[in-house]
Amino acid sequence: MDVVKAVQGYVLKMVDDLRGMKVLLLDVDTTSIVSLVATQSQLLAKECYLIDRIDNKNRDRMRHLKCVCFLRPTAQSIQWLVEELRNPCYGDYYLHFSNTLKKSTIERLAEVDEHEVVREVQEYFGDYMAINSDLFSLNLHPPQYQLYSESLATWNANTLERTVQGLSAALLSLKKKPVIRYERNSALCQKLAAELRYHIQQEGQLYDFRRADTPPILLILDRRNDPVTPLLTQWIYQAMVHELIGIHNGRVDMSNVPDIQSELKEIVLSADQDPFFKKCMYLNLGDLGANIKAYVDKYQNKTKSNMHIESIADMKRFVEEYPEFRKLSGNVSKHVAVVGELSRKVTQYHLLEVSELEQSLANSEHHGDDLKHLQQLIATPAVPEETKLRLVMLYALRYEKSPNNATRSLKDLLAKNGVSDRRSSVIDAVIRYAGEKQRQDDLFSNQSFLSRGRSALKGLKGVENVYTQHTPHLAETIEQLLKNRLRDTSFPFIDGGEVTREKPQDVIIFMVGGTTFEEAKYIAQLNATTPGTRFVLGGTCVHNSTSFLTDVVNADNLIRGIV
Amino acid sequence: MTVNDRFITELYPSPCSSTSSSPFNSPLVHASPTVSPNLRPSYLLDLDDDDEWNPTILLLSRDAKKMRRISSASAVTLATIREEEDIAISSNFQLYIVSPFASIQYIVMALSGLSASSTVPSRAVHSSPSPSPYEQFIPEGPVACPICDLSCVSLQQLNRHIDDAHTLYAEGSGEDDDDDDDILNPVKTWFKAAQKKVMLPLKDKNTNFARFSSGLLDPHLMSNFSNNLQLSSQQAPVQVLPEADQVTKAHWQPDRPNATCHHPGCRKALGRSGVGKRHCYKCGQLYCDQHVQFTMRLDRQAEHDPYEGIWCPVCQSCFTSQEGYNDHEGTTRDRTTLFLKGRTKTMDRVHLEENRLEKRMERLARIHALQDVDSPTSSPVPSGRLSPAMQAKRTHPNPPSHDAPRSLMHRASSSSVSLLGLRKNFRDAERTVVGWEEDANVIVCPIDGAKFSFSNRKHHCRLCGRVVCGQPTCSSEVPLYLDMSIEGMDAEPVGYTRICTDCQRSVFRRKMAHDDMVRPPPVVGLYHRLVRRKEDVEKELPVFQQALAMLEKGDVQNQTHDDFKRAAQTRKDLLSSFAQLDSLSKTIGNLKKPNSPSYQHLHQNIHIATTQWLQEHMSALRMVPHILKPAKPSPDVASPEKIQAQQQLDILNEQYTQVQEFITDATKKRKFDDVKNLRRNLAELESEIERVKALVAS
Repeated sequence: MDVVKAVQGYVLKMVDDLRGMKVLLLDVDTTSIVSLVATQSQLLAKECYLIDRIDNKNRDRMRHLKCVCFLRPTAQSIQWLVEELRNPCYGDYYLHFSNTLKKSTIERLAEVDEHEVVREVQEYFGDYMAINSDLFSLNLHPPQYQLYSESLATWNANTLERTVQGLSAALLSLKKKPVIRYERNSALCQKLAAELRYHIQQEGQLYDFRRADTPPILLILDRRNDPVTPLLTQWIYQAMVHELIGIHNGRVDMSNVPDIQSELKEIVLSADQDPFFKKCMYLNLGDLGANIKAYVDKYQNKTKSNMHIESIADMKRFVEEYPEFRKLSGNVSKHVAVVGELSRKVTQYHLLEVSELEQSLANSEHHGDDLKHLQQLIATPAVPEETKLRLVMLYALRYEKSPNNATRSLKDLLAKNGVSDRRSSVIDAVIRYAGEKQRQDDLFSNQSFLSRGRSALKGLKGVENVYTQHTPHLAETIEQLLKNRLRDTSFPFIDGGEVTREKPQDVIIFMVGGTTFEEAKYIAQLNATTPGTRFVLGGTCVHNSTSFLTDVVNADNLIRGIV
Repeated sequence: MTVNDRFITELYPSPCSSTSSSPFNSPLVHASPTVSPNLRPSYLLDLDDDDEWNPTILLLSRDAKKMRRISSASAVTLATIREEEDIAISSNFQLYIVSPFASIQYIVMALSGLSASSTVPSRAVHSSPSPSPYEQFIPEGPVACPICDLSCVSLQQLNRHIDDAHTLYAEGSGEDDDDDDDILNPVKTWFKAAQKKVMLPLKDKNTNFARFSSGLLDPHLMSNFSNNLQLSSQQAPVQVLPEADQVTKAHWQPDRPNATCHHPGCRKALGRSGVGKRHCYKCGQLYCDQHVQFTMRLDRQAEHDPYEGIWCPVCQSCFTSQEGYNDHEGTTRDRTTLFLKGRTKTMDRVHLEENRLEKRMERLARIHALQDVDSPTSSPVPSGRLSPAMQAKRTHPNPPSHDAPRSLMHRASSSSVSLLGLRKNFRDAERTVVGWEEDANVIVCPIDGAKFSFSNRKHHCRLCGRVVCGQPTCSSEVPLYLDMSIEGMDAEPVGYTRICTDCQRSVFRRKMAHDDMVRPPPVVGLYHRLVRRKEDVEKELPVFQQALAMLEKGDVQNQTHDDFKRAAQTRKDLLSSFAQLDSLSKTIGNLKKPNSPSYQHLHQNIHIATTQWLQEHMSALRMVPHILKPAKPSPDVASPEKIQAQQQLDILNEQYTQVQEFITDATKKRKFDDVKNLRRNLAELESEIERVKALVAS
């Protein structure tokens, strides 16, 4: 159950089986899929000397090269391929598609291959972005992929198709034929579950895997049941970079960072290729700082020893270590730059103070204190507008049903502090999108007397770190699943599918509407501490607060009929 | 084995050790409270105070409280076990439960290897159904006979069936074998005694408990117990289950007093307080509690069986090494066959079309050849076929190169300007080859969809007769050959005519593919050499490393001269291979191909990849001198100092070039700090080289 290894396996298998000079031909989608899991030097080592896009019309004819194609079978890509085969640039073509091909597509390709250049046609199900070994995303972002069509209960047909394809590819690449459960209150989850079950039935042969002791479980959840997690300030390295700078396809765009060196304008953060990142991606900023320091010290030691070259032996050592040393120096400066930028933003935006309030709003009922604190922060000019809005949204979500709800006065206060009405309308939007009426479970544990008591008890235990005390709602669901206590009424099995009552060994969680790195961290932790059970988390995308609020506003426009 | 076993051993050291050959442990558990401190606190043993070896009936359950109550009512020995321990216990106790309570009698056989999740039912026997808190032991629906698997509608029926069918069997076997009879008898009496005791408070008259249980006893299994029974010289409580439902323990590692956890890196001493001692059911090794947290389904041979297997605790390595667990290779599906089926059809069509067009092409060529001949400059030709001499005589205004036909196609009609007059003459003849489409019917070009106008003229394709535009992507003038085979196209064309690109593709399909493959760009040859060199090195390198290892291992004094020489020779070969590789890759990197960014890219990437490869593989070679140095003082022709110096010089030179490379690299990347360092290095190297050179020369 390692999505990175699965996709990597596909890519390397494509280029490995073939000897001689090769070109790898990709399309828009597969370029990002491949770039997440394979480096250029990995591909070069496999004699793959050129990587090009199939929609690049200015490719030279190189009939002595073999061509490995990896394409998503979209209408667009197939069209490009048809044109390519009509007038082939390369000698032999080994076609790989990231999903199932329609029979008609195969026939169409067979029809145009007049030069008999195609040697193989394969389906390799690497049709998703493998971000961490236990996290994948489909990268479905508006405007290309809208989640909803007519109402919040209907999928956009295009997005649904892509989601079914991506999720089924994930299952196939992991070789899982799961029992499907979904969140009852979400029409989207139910529809996706049904479509997926239908797909599995249709492609029965593909899903003919070795039987596991207990069937794996696919749990389909809806982001709307937990609007809080994507709104919080993050303190875990990976999550923090995504929240404050943004990670897209494993790349971080640092060009907006002041005084950045030119080679650090765009950097890659990949746990697979960067051991330091792998070690630190789930550490909070404090621990990360200590690690960075140790890393820099190590680098300085090496530099020092490289400075003192006195004997032949030293020289030899230097020559041997130099390439490794250079790699280290690049990596050190990369992480130092990123962490420097993070801490700059933390101070600039008063994020520690903000986060303390956020955590309090997310975890406990302290209406009076929180409100006072919130009013103070709104009046602080250094706190950016977005942050103020996020805080009010968290407040509005938690105290939605509270008799003392002061959202209205907070909005007035925002207006007084220069936040336009148009911008603060997002507060109402988030309530309409994922307010209490829209949610299935008692997210804040404040809806009934009993749950309030429970949350009070939880508070008594004390917390290790004020800023990271929040656990995503997902945690509770999985805990119940592991204890076999997940209720059929809230998380039914899909009609006509298999049902299991045993403790699961493999669990795949898919979040419709996007997951977060905080949840990814929780899953990684769970993987490390739960012997005998493995988890993989996926989502239509990976949110930070900005992208989540874009979704909220889009959805809200839909509800109110503004398109 | 587990706690209980050990604890029996303490009580009765000799008898138990003598039974250790038996796959079954003594089911006997009877202990005085003094022993219990040795037990893990999680085991609650309630013991009968009676010192006599009364038949002991064990009741095993996950619900401790419930069972305790029963025990006080009936004075049976009782072991209550924490939920997760019951497997361990049951596997040692081979259990059989008789629980008299109120007016109900249950005979519950808890099977060994009982999984935590399944409650006994399938083999439970119960004589009078009544509502009770023990309904979990009452099977629902039909039950199967534990001996012959006959399914019975109810427990009563099963009881009757056992009476009828299996009582005889036990007795019969007893008669067959005296020994068995001897064993069976005590067992039977024991059960009778037990029954009496148990039945006292019962009004129920219709139990066939004794017979039933004796029926269960397989004589073969019983013999295993004979020793135990006799040695204990008491009527020991013996009950055995059909082997069918337990996972074998034959492979279990015997329990040693100072065993440690088998988990790599754990080494915890087992059996101490706080550290449980458990077997992995699959590999049979001993582990501490933490390292047997995994469960998987095993069959009777302790092999993984996801279908019918029983849930058993296993260790991490057994769990993670199960088949498919670490399988990272995703599903793939090969659609090549389907594709090829479709393509065969296509190719049939293509070949047909190709032949048809080639025929037309040849007819056109003949027309041109004839017309050409008719023109004043040439003499008449008898047939459509021209002799090579004739062709040579005819001078084309723009002699066609032997370039790929493509280039000719794109070279618009310039070649035929002077033939304009002639072209008119061709036209009528050309129309006989294929009927031309009516101009008036066509408004846009069928290929690129452009509208025809004064500037965008209409043209006819001479092969299919369609009206197309004159854009080079839609139609162009192509050379005509009398012979359309690949060799025939090497001859000089007899003329030029316009055909559309669709027809061009068909008609020159083979020729184009052929041309591309015949004249490879220089990189292909170079790369081929590169690959061969690489293969050589990959073959030689392990040989060399082996030789080195041998030299290192062997005594330096005893080492023969030949071995050393051979190693040195291999090293030299390798070094030269590396040098060749390096120069080859540089040559490729410097190859020029104007107007072709793709080729430039290709060349550079090959160079980069080779450099990477060299760095990786040369590091192995760099280590050599260290090892070879002590081997050097062999009686050699030259003085040892000189050889040493020579070798040192080699190394230094090697390093010198490397540092130079680093410098250029660093300069390129504008890492001036590094460059400074490197330069200092280089200077030092230089002086060192000078020194050694002087040494060698002396």
